[in-house]
Amino acid sequence: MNPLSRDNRRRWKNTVRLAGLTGLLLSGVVQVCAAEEESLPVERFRQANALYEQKEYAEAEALYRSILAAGVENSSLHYNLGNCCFKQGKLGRAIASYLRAQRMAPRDADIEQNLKYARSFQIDQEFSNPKPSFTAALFQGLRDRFTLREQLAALLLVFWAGCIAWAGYLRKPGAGFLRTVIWVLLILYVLTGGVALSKYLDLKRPVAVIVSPSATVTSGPDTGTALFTLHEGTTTRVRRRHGEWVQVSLPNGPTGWVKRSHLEFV
Amino acid sequence: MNSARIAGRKRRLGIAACLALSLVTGGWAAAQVKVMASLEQPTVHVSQATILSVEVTVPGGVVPTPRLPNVDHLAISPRGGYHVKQSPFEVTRTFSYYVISDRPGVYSIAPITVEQEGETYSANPVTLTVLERGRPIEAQEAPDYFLKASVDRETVYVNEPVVLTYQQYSRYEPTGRLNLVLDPNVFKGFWHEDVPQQQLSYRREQVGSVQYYVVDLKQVILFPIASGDITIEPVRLRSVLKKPAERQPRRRSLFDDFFFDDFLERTQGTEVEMLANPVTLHVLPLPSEGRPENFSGAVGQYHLTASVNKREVEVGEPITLTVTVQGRGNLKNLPEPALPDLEAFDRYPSPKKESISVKDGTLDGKVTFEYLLVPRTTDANQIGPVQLNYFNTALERYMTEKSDAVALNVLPSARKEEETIVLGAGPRQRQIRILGEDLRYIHTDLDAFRADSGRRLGLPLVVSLHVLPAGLLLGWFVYLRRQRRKEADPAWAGRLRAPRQARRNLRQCERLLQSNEVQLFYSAVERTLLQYFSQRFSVPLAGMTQEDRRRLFLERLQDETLIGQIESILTACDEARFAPGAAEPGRMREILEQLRQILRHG
Repeated sequence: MNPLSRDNRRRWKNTVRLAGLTGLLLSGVVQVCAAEEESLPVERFRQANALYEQKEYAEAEALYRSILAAGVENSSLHYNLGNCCFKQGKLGRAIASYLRAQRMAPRDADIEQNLKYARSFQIDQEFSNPKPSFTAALFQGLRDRFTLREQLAALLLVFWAGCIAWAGYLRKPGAGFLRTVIWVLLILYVLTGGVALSKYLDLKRPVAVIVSPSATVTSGPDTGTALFTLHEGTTTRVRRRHGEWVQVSLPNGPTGWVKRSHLEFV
Repeated sequence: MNSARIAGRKRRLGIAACLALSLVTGGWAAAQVKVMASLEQPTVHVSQATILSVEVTVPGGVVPTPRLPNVDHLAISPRGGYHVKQSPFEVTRTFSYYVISDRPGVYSIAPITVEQEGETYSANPVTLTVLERGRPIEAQEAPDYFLKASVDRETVYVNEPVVLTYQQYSRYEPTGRLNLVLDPNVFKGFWHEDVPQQQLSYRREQVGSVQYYVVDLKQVILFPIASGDITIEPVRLRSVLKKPAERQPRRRSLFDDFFFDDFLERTQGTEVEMLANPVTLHVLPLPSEGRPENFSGAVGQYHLTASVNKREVEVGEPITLTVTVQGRGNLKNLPEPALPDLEAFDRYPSPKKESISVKDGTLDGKVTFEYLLVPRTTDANQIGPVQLNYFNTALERYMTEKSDAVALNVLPSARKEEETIVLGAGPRQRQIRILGEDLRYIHTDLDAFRADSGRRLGLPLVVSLHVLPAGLLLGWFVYLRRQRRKEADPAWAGRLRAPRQARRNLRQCERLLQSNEVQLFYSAVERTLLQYFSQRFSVPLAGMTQEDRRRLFLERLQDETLIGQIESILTACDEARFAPGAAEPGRMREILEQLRQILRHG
């Protein structure tokens, strides 16, 4: 054996060992710091849950909101906050919190049930979404039942599988089976990408919920004519903002301006 | 010709001025029948005549003659002649009378009336003071104009309405061009509501012995927020008054007299500024005696009713409880009535509805509070009385308005009873009835809370995870292509391999030099050289004769110097192999350097 190559290998092994040890040490330090950092929100979450059990809903709400203010985003947190708001009769704020929770955990049965239950108290039932066609419902189902993170993970999975299949095909160009697999994966990639893009655009368009008992929607900011009245809990799409006024639209078409103080953004 | 042109210009100017005035005074009263009386001198001596002027304004047509009252010891006789003022909207005629008395006293000349289209209109009363001869008449020091702020009462309770009025008084006729400057802090300490503004108009009013034109500028209803003496600071008014102008002798035409004479010649608009008097209100606190425990500050007179939209409901079915408070007081800030114990219901507030108007110096109307109630159980069969405690300012005591209790018939939820869940299959299948629906409980799993927090898949990571396999795939493609070419073209593969192999061999030569292995060194140098060129030319050089090798080098390299160096090294290697001697490190290093040069340039 070449003595030079033996030396190189030894040196390489030492480098790898050193890097591994440093990595372990660093990850340990990071984990300790992270554990200390996360203990505060977890403790607050536990306290807020205890307050909720004691029916101290306002205090529990304040505690949940303090966790959110600390930058923690969590479906359970929004869900519990929604329950607190609902128990205090804040229907609009409850629906806004459930919608936020649903964005993070779209298949959570509790969130879905409570959102449905809260919406049953909404006055403006006629503004609910119109029933979509079968294809649109399928697309919406795929979009709404999965988070953007899950959709992106699926997209990456398909892409990696496609790359592997293509690598195999490059190795054996005559393999018809691999060619079929590549085509199937390509179609899947386009579909998954379309759904993920739709989800991304959907999340980019802000949604707001009416939180005042009633809000007059006007034709323009400040001096517009009163067009119609929306009631607490109605979900609207935000089109644009102008100072203290927000232009909102409803699923079945009507559009108008409403004061920012009547809304909570999701 | 010249004077006709001037007259025409004046007429056009008159029309323009008239239109401009009408635009500026947009809020000024539209034409209507008005009768105003005034005395030239309100105080005279016995047998001294004074002139009574009665100004009658009508929207158009013939101006009726006023009817004067008979006042004892007062002789009123027409003065003769009259003055007519006409604008596009109204005609005003001023009737003049001599008034004389033979006895001292104070005489009220009223009513002076005018009949127009069956309606009777009265003038303001005027008072004439007649003094004995020789008694001096006191000089009048009343101002020409002033702004008056007044309230309908000076002592009120907290949250009790009080009407503040601003009025302009002037000896000269107002034009309607007014600007009342209200600072936002004027009503500090009050919740206030403006009384809807009527079109501005003026009337005559005698203050002492002076006749003033009075314009009601603004009325505000004030609700004091706190007790104590509160002063409403003075506000400023800018107004244009028609002051008499000095008359200039000139040629007059009938048209000028008829339409524009008064606008352009006899009076001139003069802008004046006036400051209102401060007004101090004494605000009393609400009495503590008899104050109910849950009193929330409502003041006024109210009546309360409560009703539900349906009396027979199922568990979980929402009903609307409507509480209506009707009355007078600060309705816009009316506190919510106290609801009864609604433990058996889920309660959700709905929007408050208001139907309020300003009437008789306060807010009048009704406020409707709606509550969405959802009975939880069949025990929720009554909504107790709703009550509102308020302080009645008329009776000056606390009162409680209470609605009747509302009886409900709450049935078990038929809808829910029909809802069942089937569990199991076959003979073990059973049904579970759903009895009610409520909010699902909160999430308390701390591990799930921890796990859910902080997992993010950002766009940079997604892009990176796309680029990585794409790069690997591209690398794989290049690798496979090279492999295939290597397989198909061994000569190309050899050429490709030659420099790398040569570098490796050179390193070995270096090591042998350092360890002073002479034989092995020369052998390695020869191998390196021949292997390199064998791979480059794809011809095995090891078995070739010296001549064949030289021919090949000449053919391929075409560089005599280089070929000479190669041959020199190969000769040195042959010598070292066949005639080994002592180590010559200097020579060996030179050979190694030559070999390096050849490999670099060859």
